[in-house]
Amino acid sequence: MPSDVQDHLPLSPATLHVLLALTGGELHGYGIMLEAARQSGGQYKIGPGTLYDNLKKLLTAGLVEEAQPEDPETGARRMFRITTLGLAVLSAETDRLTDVLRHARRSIRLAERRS
Amino acid sequence: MHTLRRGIYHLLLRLHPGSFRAEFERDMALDFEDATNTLGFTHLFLDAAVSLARQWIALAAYPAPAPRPSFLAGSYVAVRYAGFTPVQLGLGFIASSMQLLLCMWALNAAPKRPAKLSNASQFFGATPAASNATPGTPSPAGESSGFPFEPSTSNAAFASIRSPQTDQLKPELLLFHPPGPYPSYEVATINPIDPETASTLVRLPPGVSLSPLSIRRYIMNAYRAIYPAQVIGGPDWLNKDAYRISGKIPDDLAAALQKMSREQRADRIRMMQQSLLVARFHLQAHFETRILPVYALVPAKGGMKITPVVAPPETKPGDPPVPSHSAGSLPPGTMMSTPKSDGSWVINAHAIKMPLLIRVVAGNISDRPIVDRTGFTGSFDINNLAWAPLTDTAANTADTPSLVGALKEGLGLAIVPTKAPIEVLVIDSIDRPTAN
Repeated sequence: MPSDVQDHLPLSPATLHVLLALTGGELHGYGIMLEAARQSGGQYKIGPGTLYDNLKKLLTAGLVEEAQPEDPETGARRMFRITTLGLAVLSAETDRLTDVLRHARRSIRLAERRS
Repeated sequence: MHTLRRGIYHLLLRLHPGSFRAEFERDMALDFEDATNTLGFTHLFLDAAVSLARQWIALAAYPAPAPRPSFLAGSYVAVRYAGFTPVQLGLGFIASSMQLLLCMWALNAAPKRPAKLSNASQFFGATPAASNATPGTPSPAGESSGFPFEPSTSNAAFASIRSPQTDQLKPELLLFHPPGPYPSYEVATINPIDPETASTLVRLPPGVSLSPLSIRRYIMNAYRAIYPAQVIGGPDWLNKDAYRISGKIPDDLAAALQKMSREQRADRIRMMQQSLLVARFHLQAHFETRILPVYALVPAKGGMKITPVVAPPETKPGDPPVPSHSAGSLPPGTMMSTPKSDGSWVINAHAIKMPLLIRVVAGNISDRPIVDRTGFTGSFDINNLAWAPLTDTAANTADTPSLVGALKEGLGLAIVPTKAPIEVLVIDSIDRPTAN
């Protein structure tokens, strides 16, 4: 795994949901909020403050880029998309979480046998 | 109330560091407008307050070396940044806290809107029917009457009410409530059923679902509301309880319906549904014009790529049905969406008007109403407009544009978020149905 990918792990829940939302295509801020809520079945709702705080970090780190600048003339909103590095980080985080889940399930099973 | 909340939220945004504000203030303000209904003001307020603290802490911990806009105004003056001292940060924190407390006090001190608008002087129009006839037109002040309005089964229409801000606005999306008298079902049976047995739930903003057999859905259908946002208020059971409603149409009306066009028949049924809602559910409501977030269908930057075609002749009751597919072409005024095996869709249409296109687009972009601002009133064709849903991650649709992209590339139409006056039905009170 490239070191620049590893540097970004682990991802915070908000970052994970933002990246995950953008895998479906370009979205504006509110679109990301809706998609994150949809993906989590309404359990995790990101507000604009949390969203843009994380988007700022993701833009700086190059995991997300601006797909379309805002256009006040037409009212078009700024769109964001995930970069190749962003996809690689998301993939690495998914692998990491899979390992965590596997370990957690095994530990729970062992604990249940003991009790 | 919303104006006050918006003001408070914008104040919080103004308190963010200049660099953050310059980059994200507009986006956050737009998202606030969108998310007010779904997340609620308290969530948004706390979220912005946390963001405010986080941004200032980040700035204090990792000061940027380059000159940055002033904290006070950002766009008014620029100061050379030399780092904040702990005293300055402390003063800033105290000032921010004082302003937040002031905002909280203002929020609590604001007058509460009565849950039910019982003051008849707030209603416009001499009679419900009169206000109904022209829902978007302000009635003369002299027509205001003082009688308490009670809808009846003979005319199930309700009064229109507009706030001063929207008084002069003509709604861009209207509900169905023509002048009476309204027909009624001869007999109607309303049977509650298990909501779990109702089929696919209608998707609403995250966390909310609406049974297709719910009374809110029934109200939406009765008033030809395309979007849930057009029916406001009412108890929670409106969304959850499911009912199977059937009514017997009087014989004379049934005979008359046979001679009507499909749309006229549907409208008569809607009027009977409205009568039933008043008679059996004791629905009391009023109409308002509200400024709501919408999508506007507008010409794209390069201009529309639509060629006008000859409009189909108006069909009258009794006309022979329009022949369906002949020699591979569609009948005038029809549109067909065909799914493809790779998950994409292809749209073809012949001599359609813009509202039909909007209806199809709205089926796929349903989080806001869509209003027509193309200015194009004629008929046009659509030939093999291919698009793929954004959520479809299949690799073989990667080259197919989204619906928004296809509209832009194929028809020269753009969908832009904006706000527009929309006519809404505000439910004042409603009861569970009376016995059959």
